Formats: sequence, structure tokens, C-alpha cells
Amino acid sequence: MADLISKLDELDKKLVLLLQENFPLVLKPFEKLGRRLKLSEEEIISRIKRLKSLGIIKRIGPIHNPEASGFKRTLVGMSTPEDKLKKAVELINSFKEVTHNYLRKDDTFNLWWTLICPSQKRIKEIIRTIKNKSGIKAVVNLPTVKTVKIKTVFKI
Amino acid sequence: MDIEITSRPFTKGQLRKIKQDLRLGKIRRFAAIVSHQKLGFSHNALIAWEKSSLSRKLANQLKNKHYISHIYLRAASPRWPYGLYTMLHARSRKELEALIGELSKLSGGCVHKVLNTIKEFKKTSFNPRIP
Repeated sequence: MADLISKLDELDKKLVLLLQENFPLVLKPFEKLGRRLKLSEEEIISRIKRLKSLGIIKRIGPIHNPEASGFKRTLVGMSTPEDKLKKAVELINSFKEVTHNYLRKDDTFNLWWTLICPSQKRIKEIIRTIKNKSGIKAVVNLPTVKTVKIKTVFKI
Repeated sequence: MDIEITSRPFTKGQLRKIKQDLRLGKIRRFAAIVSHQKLGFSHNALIAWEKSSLSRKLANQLKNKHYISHIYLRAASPRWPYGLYTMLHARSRKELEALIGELSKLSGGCVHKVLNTIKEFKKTSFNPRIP
């Protein structure tokens, strides 16, 4: 996977960085990006299409702020035995309120997933359902008190 | 939402709405989401720190680290006394260890737990229209 980078030239790398920072909110954004990189609009468009087909750019769009609309976030750690992992993952991922789910190296809690829900009540409800259906009781709920940073700009 | 890669991907009305949502804080940013795995960031870890608050100075220092994508303060529990969470991205194990070392020093040697990412089972963007 790492050798995908070798398929990018310096202009691709600059473009990836620029696009992650902020996308121009104008009628002809690719023309504007072109002016910054001294490339034509067509060239920018074909480069972005290629970056998307390589899977490097997943999407270009809004990054929502759930808290601004009253949504609550939490991170849940779950102590999941190997033989229950597959079923637990299926169950957890079936909830549309679950946005992330990762297996992590830890001897206390190894499965970590995040929830974004309209209320704390719904968060508790989902956790309870998952505990009951999976039979896994060792769960820690870590509600977000403060979001200090969410910004992913990968420098390449 | 994923815009079309064509000369004019927005209507005037859409642009107005996006800018308004940015002003209202409903949208944090409008930008490209990339695959960090495909960009070579293969060593990722969630670091849980035994801290219940964050000084303004340390918050700013952490925010400025480009290799940290997420920072949250969370309500800890007696069995899991970690209140501060940082998500780190690196290209190698060695690089990740060096970054953790740097943060450990910055935090004044705060007790922490490294939760290395082994496997991604789900990663989606929040969309307020879904729930």
C-alpha cells in the first residue's frame, strides 16, 4: 500500500495537501486550484480523478460538526474475546450511529468504537443492546467532554 | 456528500448553503478526506492519557502537531482512569514510538496507554441526515 506514494509526483502531493486544507468554495473551484498550482483546470480535474481512482482521495465534501446540531459523541471500549469478535463486529457495525470501529492492542479493552447520537439516552440504549446481544459485559463508555481537535491533514 | 469532479460542481444556491453552514458551525470544514493507509500511514495508535483536564498551553501544543488528528477530553471511569485521548498517525513503528516519546515529554511524563490500531472494521463520516 505504501508504494502508492511512488505513483505521485510533486504536483500531486501539493494538490493532496491543498485539498485537505480547504476546498475553494467558488463556482469554478478547479480553475482556482489550477491558478495556485500553475496548472490548467483540465489538468487539475484529471489529477483529482486519478487520485480518487487510486483510492487516495475518498471524497470531497463537508466535514460536519455533530455537536452544533446537538448530537452527543462517545467512545466505547469493549473487552471482546477472540471467539466472539466476528459476531460482535457485525452487531456493532449494524448500527448507523456507529461511525468508527477498530481492533486495538490492549489487554483490557480491545474493541473500540464511536457513537454519534441525538441524545445520551440513545447512546445508553445502543450500548445496552450491544451488551445484551453480544453477551459481552466488560464495556467502558467514555463520553466526550470536550472536542479539542478534529483535523486530519496528512503531510506527504 | 461527495462533489462531482466537473468544472462547475456547485450551484450558486449550494455554495450559499455550504458557506452559511460553515458560519453557523454546522460544518467544520469543506475539504478532501484522504485514505491515510494509502498515503503510507500504516502505524496508527490511540493514546489514552491519565489526565482529566488540559491546560491551554498544552492544548495548543498538541493541536499544532500535524500527526495528531483527533484530541478529545472524555469522562473517565474508576476502572479506566484515562481522560485525554489523542489519535496519532505514523509511517513506521519507529516513527510512532518517537512521536509518543515526544508527547510523553510534552505532557510532563503523564501516565498513558498506547492502543495500537490492529484492524479497521468501520470508518464512516457523520451525516446529520442519516439518523
